[in-house]
Amino acid sequence: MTPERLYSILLRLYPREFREEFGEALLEAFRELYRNTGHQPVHFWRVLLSDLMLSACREWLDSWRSIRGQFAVRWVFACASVAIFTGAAGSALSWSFAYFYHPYLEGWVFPAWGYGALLGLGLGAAQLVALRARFSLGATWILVSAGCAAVGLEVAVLLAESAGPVGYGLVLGGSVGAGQWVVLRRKSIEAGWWVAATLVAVPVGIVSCGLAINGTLRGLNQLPNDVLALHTPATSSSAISLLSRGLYGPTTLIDLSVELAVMATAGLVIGALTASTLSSLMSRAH
Amino acid sequence: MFPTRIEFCVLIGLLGGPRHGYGIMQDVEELTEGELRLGPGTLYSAIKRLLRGGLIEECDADADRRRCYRLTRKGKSVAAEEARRLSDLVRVARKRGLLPSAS
Repeated sequence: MTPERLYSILLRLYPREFREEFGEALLEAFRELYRNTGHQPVHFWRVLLSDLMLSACREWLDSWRSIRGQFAVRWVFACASVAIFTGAAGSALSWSFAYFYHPYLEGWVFPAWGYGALLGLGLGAAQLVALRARFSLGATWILVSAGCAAVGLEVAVLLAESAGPVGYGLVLGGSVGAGQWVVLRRKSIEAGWWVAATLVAVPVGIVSCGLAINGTLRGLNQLPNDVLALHTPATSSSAISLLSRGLYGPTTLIDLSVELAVMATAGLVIGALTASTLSSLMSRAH
Repeated sequence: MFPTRIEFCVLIGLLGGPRHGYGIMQDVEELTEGELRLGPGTLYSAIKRLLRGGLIEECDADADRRRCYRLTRKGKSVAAEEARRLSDLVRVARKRGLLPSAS
């Protein structure tokens, strides 16, 4: 691999807008710099890499402060809000179920698809608000999100024991992403990337945040969908115990805070992983 | 607009006429007697901000089709203002004995 080729690969560390505007000029400057000072390769690459890292950080900060960055912040905030809303709504349902319990309700369980529909409704509504400046999506977006999240969660719960948390996330993410793609493809020719971004974001969000979504399900009933329990060590430390209490039907204010914090983190991870793709789709919309 | 040290050096470098990116890097190194060596990333970050601020503009490419930049009237006035500000600071530093007297 030639030094120029290596540098052109490293240029991917810059935000896309900066690369598109100055990528060729950066390569030109590199060629001349290498021709004149490249005879001391160790010194040359040390200086060049530190320059690249520092300027790339600066450009990313600039990018986040730009309009596109402001959209990304709004998007991440919307995803985190939905996750918190779903967690709070799940806990409220769980609490009211326990409070109004009657032997007549014996054996009644809150279905996974119901919880999925709740999640999809909130997600679709928040996304609609975040995207309204660029896409006119309408109520179809919310209905499709709710329907696909309901189906996705129902199937994910059935497969959870054999497929593990990654499979759980893939099924849920794939279902929601594919459903939203059907609506989004009429607005952007590259909408397929949205499915890919959701497929990555949802499993990462779920795994990294201790299966927060499933946690509140456990609060509602004892369905055999408790994926976190399958992956939690038997000897739990106090931190894990606190986390488990928060996720598995919070009873105190601290438990509830833990649950909402975990849901918010899941939302933040999913939002951050999808923001860049969505932002690119918006800039290329019909 | 107050230019940063690097931006100010780029503006001073462009006082000598239009330059391409590598030419500016060489100019800055020469002007600062080797104390400041700009890498391509730092240079084009500064160029981007100066272009946005209207202090420099792109001009016709040179014979090797390299992108060239030149100072705008606003850029010249901002550079002069910054030079005056720095000169005032040096005068105060001299007055307070931080620097030896010029005479």
